[in-house]
Amino acid sequence: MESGVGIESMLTMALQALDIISDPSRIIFLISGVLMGLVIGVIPGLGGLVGLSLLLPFTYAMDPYAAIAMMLGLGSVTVTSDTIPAVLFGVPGTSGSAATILDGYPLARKGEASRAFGAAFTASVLGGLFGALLLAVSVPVLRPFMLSFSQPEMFAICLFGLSLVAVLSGSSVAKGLLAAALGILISTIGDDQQTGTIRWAFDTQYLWDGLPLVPFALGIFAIPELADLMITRKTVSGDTKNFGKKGQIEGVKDVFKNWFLVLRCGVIGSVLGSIPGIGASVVDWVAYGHAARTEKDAQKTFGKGDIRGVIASESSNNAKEGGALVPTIAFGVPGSASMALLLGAFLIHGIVPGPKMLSENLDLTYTMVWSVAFANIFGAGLCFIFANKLAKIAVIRPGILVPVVLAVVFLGAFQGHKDWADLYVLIGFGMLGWLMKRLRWPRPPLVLGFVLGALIERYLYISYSRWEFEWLSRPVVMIILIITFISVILPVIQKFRKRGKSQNKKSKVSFNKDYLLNPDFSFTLIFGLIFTYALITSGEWEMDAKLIPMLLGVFGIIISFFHISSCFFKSDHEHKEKILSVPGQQTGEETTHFDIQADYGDLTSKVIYSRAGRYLLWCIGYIIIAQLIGLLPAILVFVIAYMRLEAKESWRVTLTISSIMWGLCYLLFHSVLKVLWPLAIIGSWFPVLRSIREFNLF
Amino acid sequence: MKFNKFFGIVAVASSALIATSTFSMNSAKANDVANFYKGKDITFIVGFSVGGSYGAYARMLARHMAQYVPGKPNILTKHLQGGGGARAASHLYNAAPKDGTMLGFLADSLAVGQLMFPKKAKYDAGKMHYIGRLTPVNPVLMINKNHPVKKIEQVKTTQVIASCSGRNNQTYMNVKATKELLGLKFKQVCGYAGSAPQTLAQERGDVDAQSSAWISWKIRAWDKITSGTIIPLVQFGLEREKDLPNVPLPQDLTDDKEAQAIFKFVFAGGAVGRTLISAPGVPKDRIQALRIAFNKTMKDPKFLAEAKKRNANIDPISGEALDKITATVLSTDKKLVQMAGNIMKGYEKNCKRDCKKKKKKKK
Repeated sequence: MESGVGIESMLTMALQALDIISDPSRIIFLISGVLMGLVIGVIPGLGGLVGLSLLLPFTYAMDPYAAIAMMLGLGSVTVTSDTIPAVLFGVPGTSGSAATILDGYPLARKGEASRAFGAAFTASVLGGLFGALLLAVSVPVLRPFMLSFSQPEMFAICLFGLSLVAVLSGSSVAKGLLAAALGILISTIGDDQQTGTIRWAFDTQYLWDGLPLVPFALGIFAIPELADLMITRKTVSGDTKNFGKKGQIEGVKDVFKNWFLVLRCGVIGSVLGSIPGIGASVVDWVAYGHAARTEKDAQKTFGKGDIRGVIASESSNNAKEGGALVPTIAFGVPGSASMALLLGAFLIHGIVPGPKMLSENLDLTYTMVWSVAFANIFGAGLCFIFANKLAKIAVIRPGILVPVVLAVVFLGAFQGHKDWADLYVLIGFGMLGWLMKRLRWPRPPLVLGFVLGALIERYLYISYSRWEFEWLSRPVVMIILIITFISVILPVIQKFRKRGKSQNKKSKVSFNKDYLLNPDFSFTLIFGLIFTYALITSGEWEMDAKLIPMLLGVFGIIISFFHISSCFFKSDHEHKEKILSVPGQQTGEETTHFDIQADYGDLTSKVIYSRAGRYLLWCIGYIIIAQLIGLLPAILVFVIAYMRLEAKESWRVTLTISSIMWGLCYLLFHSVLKVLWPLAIIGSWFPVLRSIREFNLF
Repeated sequence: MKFNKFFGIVAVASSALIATSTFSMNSAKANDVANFYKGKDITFIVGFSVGGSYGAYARMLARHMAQYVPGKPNILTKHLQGGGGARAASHLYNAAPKDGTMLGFLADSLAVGQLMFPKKAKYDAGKMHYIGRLTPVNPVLMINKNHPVKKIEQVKTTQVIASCSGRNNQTYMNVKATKELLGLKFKQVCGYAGSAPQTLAQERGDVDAQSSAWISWKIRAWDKITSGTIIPLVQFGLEREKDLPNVPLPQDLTDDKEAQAIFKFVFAGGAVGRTLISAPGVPKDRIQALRIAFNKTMKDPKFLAEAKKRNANIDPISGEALDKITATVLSTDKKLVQMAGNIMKGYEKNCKRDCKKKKKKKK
């Protein structure tokens, strides 16, 4: 065995490490790291990396075990508390909780936020512990395991992940495929690694490194959910009868009922987490898709507030942290930027990561494992204590909730590339997300395509340029590809069989003129135009740069055409089912839709669109004010203006809430995180403002 | 005699006067600088991610340099990554206050990039003020021990597979230039997301060699280097790293003057290294004070002790010397720049028109 560790010495080392970590002073550092991690996880846009870079200076003076405990404590729990905004507002706290929204938010809307929290935190802690355990027992095989996964295998895994689009599209396959293709297309923006071609950056530096994930994800999910809160003018959840301990305990029970799901998603999280480059943003979707495919009756209930959706996503993203330690421990290679900071902390204490972590420094490795385990327990415990109070946020009236959360989303989106364009991306994809939600286009395939697209292209080209086609014959690749193929083709065959049985009576196919006026028609047309544009503009690039975009272009055009024509020519009974109801919506029992659905009650389309337009104007208004007086000062103006003019709140409420909220933002973003604010016009007029620490906001 | 005496007194008096006035002028200037920086923040804006060596050096310098700047300002580090460092450079050059409160840790290839990618460069490296260099960062190509090639010359006959991240990145460009101008059999496999997956690929044997800055090799693979698991094949820079006197530079391996000139242009970033830079337009006395503070920091025993602990290379040169390096790079003959660009794109070296078509035909 490469690492030369016996089971006995592993146990001794593990116990020794337990002794090290349970030193009270180290536990205190661990808990303080956990507290910071929880706060950071709640704020959209801020992830573990931001927290770790804040901690770094403090770790120099600590002993190495305490430093590691604190840093891992922080890193492990950001994906525990990120559930809170995801469930309460449909806003992902970090990119790891985007999939949690799909069922967590509908649960909150049903008044079951407590249950969702109970399940999410339990799933988090179990997933985290499972990840740590898996890491602990697999120490001897870590190196061979990692060495058996090369780029071709990673390509196959990512392709498998992408194949989940077929599931997540629900019954609107064409829409799902279009969304996924658009997601991949967007992921190709920027500097192409193979040829150095700069794809669709439109001469901006902003797009050079590709579209940032944070404003994209916040735009797709957060902006539409907040918009609908404003449009319906109803609180997130109508009643509070299910709040309290009872709901939470029910959530805990749900997790234990679904223990096997937790286990499977834990494995997904730790294995994917150990591959450098596959981050939190991928893991939760793959787990969710896996659950949607394998769980009983998932087709009917997922996306409508099924607790299993929350469990799948949350157990996987906490298990990921254990996996992310693997390349660091086994090879001394940081799997992510956060891990690179951790390695920096190692070095200052004279610890050289690498193969010795699996032999001489095994106690250190186990200290890390214990830290992750303890952090998960403390993190989930703290969340449990506060969950009831937090759940009550769901009954705050939208006039207060919307401006405050929206303001934080603006600040969070800016953490993407720290550029004004982050806000444009946020609003642009916010509009897209809202329209998709309204017209019942599933959003998960779009996000999945975006997070996996770049990886798939990368791994495919590396595999090809290293081995040409030879890599296809590698056994692991073949097995995964066959599984992928079967899992895509099997449901299709089943569907055709079903259809063959039911299609006894032949109905007339007729032309449906009304579809011309249906917003779904124009929306699909825009998709088609985007793909046409992509096809035309990518033509002049070098082969390696244009291959994927052109394929996507052709694919997108065909599917758009297919979708439009199938909506024009439908057999009679399908008509009634699919088109006549609300614009672009499909009703009927058999349709499956893995996304949150808008419930506007009896509001007319006119009211909905006019309120949505007002919401958009508020967002644009904020950006304009921000350009004038600075991103952070504009938050204050925005919250006050919105609460007074839109929500008609009293001055007392308005001023109290806006000043508290702004004070906290100032403290967190300016004083603690020391954000480099974008340049506003007022600062260019009075440059002196920028050289005073307290006023350097402009 | 009398006249002489009078003259002598005048001379002495006037020279004393001049001396005191220049002295008081100097101290007044120092006071100005101190007054300015007192209670203020200096921000080091880092063009790359928190996790990289730019960030590590910036944080280390920030901790130790503040005490030597007149007025003892507080020094912060902030990150503005993107475009291979081009965003931070553009921010510092165009948007940041020009009063010496914002300094940059910018891409070592700042000047080279300006000539090779003029569209991307929204700055003029020649107008920046260089405060000082902490260390050069020669990239070094390390090859697996079990590969038959042990010396760079052997690559003429035996193929070596080298990994790279992207085509607009040193991991590709340095090796590519060496391959084309020395006629070596490198096969380059690009697309890896940073050094971590490349290291794993090298460990697996998917690729034989990987190019990375010497400073980062020292930090993340010291045990492999000392145990001989990986062997340095060639380094890219203007001068050899202090630690690597026997590892050749490509320009030492050819007598072709033109090739040497192209090498020196492409590798200049290695000599610039991890460097503190100020935007143009900052008052001269502040630049001077910052340079003095930087040089003092480089001799500070506490600073050096921390660097040693981190296995972080320190090999400083002055701001003035960096000004010269940059001026030399920027004065590179346009023909050479064009040739370097052609090599990177895989065109004929001397091609001027329709190079893309010719490349296709050649294929």
